[in-house]
Amino acid sequence: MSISASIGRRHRGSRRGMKRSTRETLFFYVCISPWIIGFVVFTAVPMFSSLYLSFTDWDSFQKPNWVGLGNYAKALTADPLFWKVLRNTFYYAIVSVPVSLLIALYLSNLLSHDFRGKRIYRTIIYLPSLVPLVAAGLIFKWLLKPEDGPVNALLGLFGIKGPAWLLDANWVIPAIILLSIWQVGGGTILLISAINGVPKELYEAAEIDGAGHYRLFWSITFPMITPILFFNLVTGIIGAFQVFDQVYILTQGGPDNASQMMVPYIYTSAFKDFHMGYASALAWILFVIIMVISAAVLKSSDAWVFYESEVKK
Amino acid sequence: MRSWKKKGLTAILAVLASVSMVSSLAACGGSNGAGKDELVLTIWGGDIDKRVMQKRLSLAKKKYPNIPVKLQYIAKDYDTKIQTMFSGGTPPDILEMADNINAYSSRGQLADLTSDFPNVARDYGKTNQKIYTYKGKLYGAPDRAAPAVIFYNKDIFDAAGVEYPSEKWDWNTFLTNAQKLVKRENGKTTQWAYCEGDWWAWYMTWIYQNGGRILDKDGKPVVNSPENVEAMQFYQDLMYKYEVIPKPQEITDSGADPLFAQGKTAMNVTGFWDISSLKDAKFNWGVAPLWHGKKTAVPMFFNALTVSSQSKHKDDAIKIVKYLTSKEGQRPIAESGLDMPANLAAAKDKSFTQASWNKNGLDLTAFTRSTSMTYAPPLTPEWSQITKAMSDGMSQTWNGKQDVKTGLDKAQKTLEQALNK
Repeated sequence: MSISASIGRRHRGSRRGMKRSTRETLFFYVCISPWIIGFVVFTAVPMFSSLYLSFTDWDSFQKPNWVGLGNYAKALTADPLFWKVLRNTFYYAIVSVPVSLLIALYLSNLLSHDFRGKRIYRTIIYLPSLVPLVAAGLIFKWLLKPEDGPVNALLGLFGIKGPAWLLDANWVIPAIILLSIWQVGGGTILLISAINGVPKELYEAAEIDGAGHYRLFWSITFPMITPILFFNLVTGIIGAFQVFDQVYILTQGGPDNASQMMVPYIYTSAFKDFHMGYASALAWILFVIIMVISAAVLKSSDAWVFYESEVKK
Repeated sequence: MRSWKKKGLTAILAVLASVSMVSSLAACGGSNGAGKDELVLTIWGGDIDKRVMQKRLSLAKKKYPNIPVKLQYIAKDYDTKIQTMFSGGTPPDILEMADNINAYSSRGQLADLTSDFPNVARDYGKTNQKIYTYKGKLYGAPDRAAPAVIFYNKDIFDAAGVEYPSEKWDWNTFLTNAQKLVKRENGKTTQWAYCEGDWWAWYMTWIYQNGGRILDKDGKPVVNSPENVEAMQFYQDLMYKYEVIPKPQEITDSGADPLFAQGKTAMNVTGFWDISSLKDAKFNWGVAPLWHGKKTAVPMFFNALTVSSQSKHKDDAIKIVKYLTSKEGQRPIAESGLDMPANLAAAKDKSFTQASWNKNGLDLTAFTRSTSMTYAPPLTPEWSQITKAMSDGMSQTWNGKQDVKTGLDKAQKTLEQALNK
């Protein structure tokens, strides 16, 4: 050891009076401080203010008055729209998430094989995800025109009289689900890369053992990509419960709230009716619902999600 | 390791789930970006709105060189942004407002302008006075106020041999003539007489013309009154019995203004703004005051300039507002063809009636003559809930899936609940 190094170390140690581990800890906090500050300022503080506001009658202008659990009680017992909106949101999430996931899985399996024009097909599948939702909404309004829209014209070829879609209380949520399925490309791309990441030797070994296409898919591909499926499932559930743009652009919640969902309803309460306190309570109810469902899905993951590096106990 | 991973994931989920909804609600307003003693004036609209207001402010500057005003033009989500500025304690000093005004005035957010505009009814008309008065006090300085008029396609009228529409028409004349203006080919309608949609200015006008109301004098909802049922029945019959105006399912991706511009409807009742949209229309068209029912009732499209009660320069702000709504301060509105000035003297001035942009010789007196026929809709603090209750209740009626009375009963019930707080 050279003398200068040891002097240097002693010198630094005496100047700062800090142990190496303390310095490292400090450095760690300095490095992640942008994230922590961002989290506190943009997430934690607004979250807790909204939790506080959910117990008040704040109208976004005047001093908030404490109303205890009043807003929550109103939502659960007195607001006839709340249950309708909640049911709509569940309906949308329960159908759109699994269907989108299954379609993405099917498409990604097809598109991960080698064939001519593979890139073109991948692009086509992904293109809808690049279309801004406002434009997509307009396209869908046209596609779903009741009298002479392409969708109903197609149904007409099979002798089916198509519904009025966006104007029909029974068909408006399926129409919004269609729009979400149309944008399945993002999830598909993730799954394609997951499938491509599966080691080739697994397939080779299985093929030597005489496995067919189905066997290869269900015994190798599927288990190997479950982490990505799991990721898509969780983000899909969260996204579905927070659906906003589709509703806002296509129907504004109509007809007669048949397609009204939680987040647009929260927005209306807060920014149209000036019931900021009530809107905060609704936001927290939704938050709890999403947390519970996410936790349940997380819990279930032990049973079906396979991590290669993990040793099952 | 596994449990740590799980906790981390749960935390991330929590953040993901909450960020977009919770933070958007509680996010506080940013600063208004103004210098220390600069007044801030906010407006919405398009480029032309911005240009005209800048012109007016430069006139104001000549008169009040010591009151600097900064124009803050908010192109998108005006209402939400204004609301956030107020919540954050940094509201603009002067702000353009319309339907929302009493949601703000009733909560003490706007300055009382009653004594600054002692002759508001004389100078701006009775409807403007009613619209901007809440509990006996005036909160808005009327700025732009064009009554709705009938835009009509002269070519279609000439071809059908129907006299041009006017305020002399009553509902019977309207229906008789409308039936002559419809064109059908192979069972499909290719040309309608007229078109409406879910908008207060349309459905409330039928109601008011039939002597109906939404709220009675004490502010109680009277949505399902016999007059209203009759009015809405007439409107529903126009779609489903006489088929002279399109049903909602026939125009899901279109609307009244585009249909008229495409020459697919003979008439359109809308605002001043449609003049510039029709600049390149391939047919001859004119404007006329609206028909009447048992009563005369014409909707008016209005906006006002208001002053924030929290403004630190309230007196200066009021001076500017008074100037901008004076005959002189309103002139650029008329000259640019942006709108009809709310100031009656400005609207009667040559700069409006003989405006240089009016090259087609449009009868602009259709607007000025209509002013005295306008009605004030029930602009209470709950206005947005009123229009929502009407849309929710009536949408299935307009879609032909529910009778008129059921729809109005639904709206009545929703409103009773909403206003009973």
